[in-house]
Amino acid sequence: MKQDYLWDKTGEDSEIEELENALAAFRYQEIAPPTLPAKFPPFAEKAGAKIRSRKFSFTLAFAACAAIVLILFGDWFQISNDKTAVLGDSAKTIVPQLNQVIQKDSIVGQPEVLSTEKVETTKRFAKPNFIKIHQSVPAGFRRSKAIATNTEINKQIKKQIKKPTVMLTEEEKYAYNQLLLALSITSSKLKIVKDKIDGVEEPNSYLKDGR
Amino acid sequence: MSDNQMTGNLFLFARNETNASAIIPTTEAVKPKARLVERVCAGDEEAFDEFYRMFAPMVHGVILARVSRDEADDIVQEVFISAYKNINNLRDKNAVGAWLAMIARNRAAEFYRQTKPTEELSEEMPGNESPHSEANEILAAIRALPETYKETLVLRLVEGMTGPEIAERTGLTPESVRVNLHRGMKLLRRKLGIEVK
Repeated sequence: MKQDYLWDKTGEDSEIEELENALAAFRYQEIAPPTLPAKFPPFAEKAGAKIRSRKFSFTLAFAACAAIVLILFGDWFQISNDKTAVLGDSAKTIVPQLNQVIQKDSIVGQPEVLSTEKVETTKRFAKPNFIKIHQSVPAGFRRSKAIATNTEINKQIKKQIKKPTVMLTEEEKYAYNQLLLALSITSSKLKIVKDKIDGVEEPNSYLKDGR
Repeated sequence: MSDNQMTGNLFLFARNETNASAIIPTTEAVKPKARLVERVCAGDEEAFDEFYRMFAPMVHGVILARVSRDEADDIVQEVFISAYKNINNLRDKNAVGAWLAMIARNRAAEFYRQTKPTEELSEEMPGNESPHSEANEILAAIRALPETYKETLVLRLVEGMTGPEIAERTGLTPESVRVNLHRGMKLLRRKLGIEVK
């Protein structure tokens, strides 16, 4: 019965009763509950927290969707790489035309002065206007006026370069635009997520607090 | 009454679902507490008063096991204000006792971190015989026990709660409370020099 008294006060145990009586002085004296802080209504806080967390999860979900769309577009462009490879072929056709223009306009008698050494086209993404032409000029002509003032040549080169643009189909143009749109949305959403993580508050919340 | 019978009736740990007497009290014991917490969440001040009356002795005991009596009352109030502010973060409303006990432990620890070390004046100073000197000694002996035992013993011996009440309020299992009580009591007897009969 001794153990019962320690557990649920059934039976008797003079020793434990003595301890209880001695320690009763420290027992909790009932006092009024604390005055609740009026400016902390828990339900309001909860509502705010819910909205915030929901917004955050929407942001994450949207970012994930945008990332998936990007990956799909990337794959699609890679598949359509064969089509864009035509770009390389068309660029090759420019080279003789350029040589002709250069010879005709300024550097008469020096057909070897400018030579198109390398034509690079991007294969992964279709950027039709992006063609690099590296010019190599012999040392003897580098400081000559003919080369120094050949802005007209440059202009013509640019014109020639612009002409052979790869014609994108309507579908490709649409896809390209969509990709750019998706990228811009993703970057803005990622910025929001980053701000959330960094603890930067939105300007609207300042307004609310200010009021 | 055997131990098993007692535990079954009081704590509803009977696994046999046909034992209706063991099951019905479970729902009765658990649901009102959760409902009370929901009412507190909804901003019901009467519910908060009830909540305070129900758990204040337990919170006081948990704090008294660590902090001096003079500070304990203030910390109890702080614990309840903190609980009120954060009660919506509590996911399992039935675990409110364990949650409150945790807040109380944290507050007590925080109190020690924030206050400069001071020395309490002894009530046993010459010419100052206090009626609580024996009680202080016993309380000091309880505080010197390991964490798990001292809290349970304070709730039992100081706050006068029974084992089942301690289990219900703190969220500990009745088995743990029983073990803590008996082992703690054994250690306390040894510390106080009481011979085990």
